Amino acid sequence: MIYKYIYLSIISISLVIGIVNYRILNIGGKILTAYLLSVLTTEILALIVFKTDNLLVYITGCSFQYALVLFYFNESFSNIKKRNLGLITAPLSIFIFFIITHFKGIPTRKIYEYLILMEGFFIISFCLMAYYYLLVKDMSTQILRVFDFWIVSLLFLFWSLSYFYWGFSGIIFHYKYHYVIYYFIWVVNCILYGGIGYILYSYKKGKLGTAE
Amino acid sequence: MGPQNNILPIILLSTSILFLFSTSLVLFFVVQKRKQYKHVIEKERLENAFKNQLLQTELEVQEQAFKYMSEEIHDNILQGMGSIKLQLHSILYDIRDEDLKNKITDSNDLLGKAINNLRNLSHSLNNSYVANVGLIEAIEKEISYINSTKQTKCSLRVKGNDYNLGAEKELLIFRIIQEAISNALKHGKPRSIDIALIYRPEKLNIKIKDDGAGFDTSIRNSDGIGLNNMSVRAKMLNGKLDIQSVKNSGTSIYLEVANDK
Repeated sequence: MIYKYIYLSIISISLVIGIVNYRILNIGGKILTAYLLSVLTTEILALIVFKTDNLLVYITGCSFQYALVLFYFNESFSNIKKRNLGLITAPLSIFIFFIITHFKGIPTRKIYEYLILMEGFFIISFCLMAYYYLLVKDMSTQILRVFDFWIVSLLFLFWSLSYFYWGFSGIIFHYKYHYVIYYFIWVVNCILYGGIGYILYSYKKGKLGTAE
Repeated sequence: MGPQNNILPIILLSTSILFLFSTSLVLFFVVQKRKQYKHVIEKERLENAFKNQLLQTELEVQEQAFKYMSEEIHDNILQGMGSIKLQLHSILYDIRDEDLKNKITDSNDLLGKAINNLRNLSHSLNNSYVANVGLIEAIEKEISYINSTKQTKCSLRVKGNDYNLGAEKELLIFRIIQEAISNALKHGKPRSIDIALIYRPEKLNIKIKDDGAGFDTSIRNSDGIGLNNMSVRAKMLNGKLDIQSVKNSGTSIYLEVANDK
């Protein structure tokens, strides 16, 4: 339980940083603050309100967070915004996903796993598109000082580390030492949300600028 | 061994490969962007160097033009005017009409003043003038020329023991001061302009302060050519130039030049 509280505290701190700096953040930073709020709400609901059967809470929360992440990409990178790829992909993929899973009669646990696999696939794809944009863009600032570079790298590394674990969490659950993997995922999650908080904090301090 | 145990090594391997791929990609990306950034900085540096070179050439051409004008004024116009003055003077002895005599005397005086002004102008345009008389005297002459118009009070303060910075540097400093005064008179309409030369063993600090209209330093229009020339000259001096101005509160120009001698 202590791990859960540490995890919630990290998300809360990052969220507070986002809210405090909300006015000065760019649109991407604002969306990420909303993303943190969504993550915290989902976790609290799953922990307190729907303690016994919280898979539906996670499915709803994850879908919403996935949409927010794609919205972040859409608003932060011109190559994605030009065709509104983020805004189109998120609702369309979720819609198609739920239609297919509904008609195939897939159990809830599997829906959650497939949903995460789909999310991971699209988020990694969008990260690559964002990298492409950052790579071809002639910038007069150092890349390590670009806000969006850190966010994309954080999302990219997070998803590449947790993609298969989340996707096969149902199988891993039966494994003898599954808790080792869950601790690992816990650390990766903490790094993601703590990292977002730190990046939002650095943006406020003026250490980071945008890619535009 | 259950099926879940068989899939675990695959998951671990896949994750390791994916993570390795993403880490390599991020690292490759950072290295590429650093290279790109260095290239952009180098390009900017070369562009600036080219611009500076161009401006430097422009200033050199301008200096040549000044020299030519100065020589023309000195050798032709002043000579001619001097001859006219002599002629007028000689005519005076042949004229009996007192009224006409007075008119010629007045004209002769006016001509004398014009000759003096033109001589001053010829001196200040000549690039060897500063080297000949020294920076302080050149500035004093410039000031006396401005004060003679009786519209703006101009003063010079010298602190410390003055030294020679070299003909080239002193000419550049003189041109910056001329530009600053000219800008102030043209745009600021000040009541007074104070110039201070503070000689320190390691550097010379110059302050040019006026109480004119001032301007918004964030807005540089076509009149900013003068300011640009000052910046380029300051760069050529390896000096530091700082222009501070607030609308309706005058302008202060600070120049710092190292004493390399």
